Amino acid sequence: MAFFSWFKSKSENPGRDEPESHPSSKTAAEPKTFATAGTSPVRQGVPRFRETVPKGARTISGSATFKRPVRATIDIPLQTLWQSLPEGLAQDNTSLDPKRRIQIPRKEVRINDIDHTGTVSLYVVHAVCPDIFAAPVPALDNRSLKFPLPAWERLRNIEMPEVKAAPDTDPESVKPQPDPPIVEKSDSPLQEPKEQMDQHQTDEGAKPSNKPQPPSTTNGEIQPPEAHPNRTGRSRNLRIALSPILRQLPPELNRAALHNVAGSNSEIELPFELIESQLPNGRVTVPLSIFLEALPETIRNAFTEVDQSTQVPIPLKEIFRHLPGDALPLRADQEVDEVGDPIDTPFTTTAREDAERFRNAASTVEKSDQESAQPELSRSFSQSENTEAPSDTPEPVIPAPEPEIPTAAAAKTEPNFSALQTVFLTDERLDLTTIIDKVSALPGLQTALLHTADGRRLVGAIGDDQFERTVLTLFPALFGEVKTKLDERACPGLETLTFCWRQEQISVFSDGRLCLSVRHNRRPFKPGVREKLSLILSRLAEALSSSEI
Amino acid sequence: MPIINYASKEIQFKVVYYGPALGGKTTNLQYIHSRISPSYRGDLISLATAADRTLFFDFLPVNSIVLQGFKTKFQLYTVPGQVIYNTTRQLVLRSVDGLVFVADSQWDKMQENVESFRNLEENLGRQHLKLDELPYALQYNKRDLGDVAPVNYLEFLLNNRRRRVRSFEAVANTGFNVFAALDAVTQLLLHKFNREHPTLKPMPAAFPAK
Repeated sequence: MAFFSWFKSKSENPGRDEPESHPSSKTAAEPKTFATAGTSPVRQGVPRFRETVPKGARTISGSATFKRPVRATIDIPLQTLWQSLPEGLAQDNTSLDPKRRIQIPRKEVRINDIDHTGTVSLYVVHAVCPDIFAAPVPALDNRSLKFPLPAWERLRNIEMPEVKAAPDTDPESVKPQPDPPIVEKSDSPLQEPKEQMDQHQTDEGAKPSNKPQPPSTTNGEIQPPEAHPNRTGRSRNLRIALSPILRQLPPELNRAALHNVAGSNSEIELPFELIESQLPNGRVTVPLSIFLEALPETIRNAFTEVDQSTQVPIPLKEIFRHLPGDALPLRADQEVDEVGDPIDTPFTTTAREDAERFRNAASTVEKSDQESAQPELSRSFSQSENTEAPSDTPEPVIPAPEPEIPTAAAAKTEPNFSALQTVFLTDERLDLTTIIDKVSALPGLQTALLHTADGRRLVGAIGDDQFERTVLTLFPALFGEVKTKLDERACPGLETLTFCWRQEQISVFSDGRLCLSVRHNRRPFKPGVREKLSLILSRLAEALSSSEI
Repeated sequence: MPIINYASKEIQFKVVYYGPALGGKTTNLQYIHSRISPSYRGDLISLATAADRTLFFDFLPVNSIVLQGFKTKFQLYTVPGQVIYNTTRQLVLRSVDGLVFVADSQWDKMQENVESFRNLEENLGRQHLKLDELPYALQYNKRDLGDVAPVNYLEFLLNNRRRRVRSFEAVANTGFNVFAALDAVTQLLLHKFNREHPTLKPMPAAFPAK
């Protein structure tokens, strides 16, 4: 009664036997699934399955073999189990969450490492997840259910340098096996020929059958990665530049020895399936062991004393540079949200006005750009134009960086500070004096001074002549020098410098020619104040960009 | 479920701006507040920390012109995006009629977008509401920044459901597509209301912008 002893201990001590290094355990979003003990019928004689590798499987030798920790349970998406149920047994319940993960005790699963499938008794599935069944499964039911193993399990025995038959394997009884799940070390494109895909579908047990499928979905959840139409089951690699990964290593992995590598053009290969399965989560990490295997020998030793359960984040941006075009499939059964006859809502007119304004602003920018023969129109929207925008999105409009582009003549006479009204949450008409007064009134600040990088005071005061002279003459130069040096060391985006004395603290912000210095109230910035000051300065710089300051 | 007050002849719709922390929900409301004439809207009430992070919610009431004897009111709320304020989010979501999910387009915010979206589903589920039955739109905010994910990835993450909703690339601090997203949701919820209350048709007319 291994299953029931597990089930009982699970009920009494939930989470006790959870592995510590589950890669998905760090993503809080993953839904948790608990078996409903009350609905499980009493069972006599649950068949036990061997935990060993089936006959014909291969054993792995070689010191580089990577073994993931064995988990007590195997997590399977509900949809996978549901779709594999025999005809007539699947519950037609549209409220089920297909991405819910069902935990099946490993000891009840017969694992086939060759074709990466698991087989479990229908009765056990019914016991852990009765709500997908239309009818109870009797204890004597001998039917079983075969499902593809999740990525975690498939990658448990990854990177096998040598594969040989186990000594106790009877060669006569070994059936011809498909290719072992060895990572393909080639630069071949990620797309596989159709024949290989077809072959694999047979390998995975997804044989074409006349069996009607259970209802394909359900409450419209995001499809789990297992439903990817291009899944082939073979391990494929994705080449990723190493330097962006090294730049974003967590502090515990950051090594001085890697700094030279960070600037090189080295690339590493990571298992595509591992990455692909995490794309719907918005974050991709790989276990340190896999990362180390992919690293060049020269820097691998830098990580010898690191906890092997550490996850290495892979920058999504870098992944997308190399991702095949069909790696982000949208559901084939999507129904576009139809609005029906347009109704003029209270916001329709304003929406149209805004669209018109942005269209005009964009055309103004276009014209001025053409006149000045500058190649780039908009740094931000050129990217989105190349993407597959949904067909139901509104007409693409290239926005200008500012909602209102004042004419040059008007700007010289009267800068428009309306963008700062939203920062200060006020309808009051703003000018430089009121803005600096409001800045001084921010929590934890005493005074504020707006000045130029060449030392001209515009408005406000620091409140101490000695400090003010220093601020005007020295701080912008210091800021510029530090910023330049940081930029050279690939640390761009310096926003502020704070100078501390025993009783005083003064911070300086710089945005091009414009600087904002603030005197603290003997304390560091309160949360959010620094960000707000940075925003204010950037809005001021925009508003004054056409002015002769 | 909109609140219909037959005594005061009012219909109230509640639209909630949901999304990850620092995604631009409050900025959306601030822009809407700045663009609507004060005679048609109330004050923007923000319960924020000293750091300007939304502590409880932002609230902006918007009134419309009386038609067919009923005044239509829209109550726009934001939720605090920070993970720890989930109880507050559940409170704000009560009786919600429409949603604008404000996603942050920056690459390093993708996980937060997904978690916030799942959190939205969970919180709706606690109120026996289903996202697929609610009028909602997706707003991919901060498209003016340099380091943003392509729209097809955002669609893959957030709009890969059976029902594909309208999505908008937006820049909330300049107002780009802020009203377009709100208008889309408002249209959806008015259509839904008309279907559910065929005898009572609110037809709010547009008011002049500020």
